[in-house]
Amino acid sequence: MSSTSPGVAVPRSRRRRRWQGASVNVLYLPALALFVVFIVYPVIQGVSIALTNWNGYSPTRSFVGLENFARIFEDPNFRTALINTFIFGIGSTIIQQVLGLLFAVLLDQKLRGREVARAVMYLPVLVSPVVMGTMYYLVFRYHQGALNDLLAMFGGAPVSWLSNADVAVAVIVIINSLQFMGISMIIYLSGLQSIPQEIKEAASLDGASGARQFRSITVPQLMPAFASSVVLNLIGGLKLYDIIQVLTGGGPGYATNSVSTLIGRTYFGNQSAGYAAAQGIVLFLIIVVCTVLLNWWFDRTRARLEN
Amino acid sequence: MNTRIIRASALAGVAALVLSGCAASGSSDSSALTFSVYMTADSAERTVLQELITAFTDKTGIDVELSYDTDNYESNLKVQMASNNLPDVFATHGWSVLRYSSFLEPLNDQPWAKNVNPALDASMRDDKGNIYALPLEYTVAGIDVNLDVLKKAGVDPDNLKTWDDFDAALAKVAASGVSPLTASGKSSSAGNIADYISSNAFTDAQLTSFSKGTFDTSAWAQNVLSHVKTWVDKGYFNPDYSSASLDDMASQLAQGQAGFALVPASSILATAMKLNPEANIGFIPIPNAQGEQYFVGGEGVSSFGVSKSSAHKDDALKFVDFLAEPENAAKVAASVGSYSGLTGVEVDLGVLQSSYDTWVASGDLPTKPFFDRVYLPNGIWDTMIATTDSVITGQSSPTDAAKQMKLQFDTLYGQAG
Repeated sequence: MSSTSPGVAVPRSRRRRRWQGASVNVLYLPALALFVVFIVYPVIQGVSIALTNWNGYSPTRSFVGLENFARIFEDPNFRTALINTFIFGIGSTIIQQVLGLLFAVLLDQKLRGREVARAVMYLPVLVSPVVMGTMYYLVFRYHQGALNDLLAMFGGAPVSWLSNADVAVAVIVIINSLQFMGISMIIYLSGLQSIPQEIKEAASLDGASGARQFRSITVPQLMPAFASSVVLNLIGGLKLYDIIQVLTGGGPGYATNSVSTLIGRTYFGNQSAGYAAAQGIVLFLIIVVCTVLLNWWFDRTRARLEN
Repeated sequence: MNTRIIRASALAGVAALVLSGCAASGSSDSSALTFSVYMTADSAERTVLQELITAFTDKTGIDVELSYDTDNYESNLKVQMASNNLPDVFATHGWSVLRYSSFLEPLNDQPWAKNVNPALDASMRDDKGNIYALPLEYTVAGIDVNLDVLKKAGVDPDNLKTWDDFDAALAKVAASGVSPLTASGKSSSAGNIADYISSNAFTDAQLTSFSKGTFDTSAWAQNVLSHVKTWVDKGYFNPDYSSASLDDMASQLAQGQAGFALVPASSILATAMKLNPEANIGFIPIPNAQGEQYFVGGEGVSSFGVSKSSAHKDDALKFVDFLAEPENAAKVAASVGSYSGLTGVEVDLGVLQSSYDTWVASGDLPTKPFFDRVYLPNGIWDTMIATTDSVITGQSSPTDAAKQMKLQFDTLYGQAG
């Protein structure tokens, strides 16, 4: 006779299995805690601050309802920053996709030294945006700027590149694109390498040209890579802060601010933490909406191409 | 894998995260005093303060940890105020009463308090007469000049009484092939320009209007920004304005590449003299429309307060008292090229001594308070910089820039703080 009755042994083993299942869940607790501490809690705090007129350091603050959100619609500086933010986001994304795809296709070929070339193209991603901004500040500055020195070599007069808002915005877009183009290149490269070779061989046998293969095979097969790269680059562009801060500080005037740099300026410069928090929440919602819309569009396009 | 180990590791990780976020607020538990100063790493003031800290530690056995910053100094202090974690002693950079007084220990009973220059009472004492910072620096600021450049251009710096005189001098300097004005888009110098002009640009009625919360847009555009616009239109600013830093301003003034700079001399003097020890730099009073010359000034950057929540308040007070000893106070004031805020402290002002003797010593000319600190709401300084910058760079007309000022003025006026 067994010392343990079957009626007791079965629940124990079930309990052990249940614990084993639960222990897997326990593994994500640190990540969950990080998410709550660094994302959920700040967002809740941000919303609560946005409903007050807090100056950012005083022990007192008053509830002002949605006043800060209403102010956003009347603020010309926010309007400028929002337009710039879209220029930074969309402009950088387009340039990064074009260059990223170009270099990915090029470096997917069997070329000598392509590993080195890939590393070199990816290298700027590893540089801090602050360092990148400082490097380009030294390129575009008036006195002893590399660009003006080049102009001088050819007899040209120096140009104050950063005092023209349009030029400064374009410079920021280009620098951001060059820095993060490597991310797109890596994503597209991995996408290209995952396309089964047999499909291309079959297309070649059917007489499809290289361009036709690219349009009808490569592009549809790269749709998941497109989606990842575009969404990542767009979010990065919409949140752009460091390069602007170092290169122009948002100036001349308010002309090159992104919403992110304007938030910093509003919080610390104008001591309007409540209004800055409201701007932050609006930026957060804009990014969420853009991301959802883009993902929806990519899903629909992929489904259409597959059909 | 052993489930106990997994659970224990996960829970330990979560606990560590939670506990690390629950650290008590307030000043550091370290035994060293924390001392934050608004200055650059290579400033003469840093060398002097480091020497004084060593002497203080040798004398009392109290360690002092010095930290310094310029661009992010104010932002850092605002974050530290919000978290009630201010340094034990810190530079109040002109804001001991208006911004920091509720976080600072009143210093009325300190032995040096009776020696504070009465000229600072308006800017450094609150309604009850409390003083919150040790004024090692008393800012008396005028327009910085390179006297050699002016001489070469045929400008007599002693006779620039009205803005018309000043404009004529700028024209002469321009004609001599030198940039008449140097300013910097990478610093707050645009704000200094607006502050300098506005401090003696309005009638009593207009000043009352500002004080009572009504921003006079047309007066700001006409009396302040129109001067800037004129200088822009005539090409008087340095061509590298947008990318220039404060050090570039110092360099241009020191090397004779510019004639005038509208910033307090203490901001650029040390760098200028380092770049060119032979530079013939001085300062002159600020003109106004009626020819009533004046200076702007008050509490200087190097004024030091003691945090009310300091865990080492007694040591912090001892340190401030040590800095206030006449020979120490004189060294600090000399290092920033400024008068001392304490009476009985003799300061060697070096290259600026002649200008002080000519203009300040007699006390004939008034020293007006910085306009933004008296007539504009706390927090508008950044807008003053940006709007003046937008006129200098041609992004805005004086009227549009003044409208931006009004928008921010109306918003900040009455905000909690």
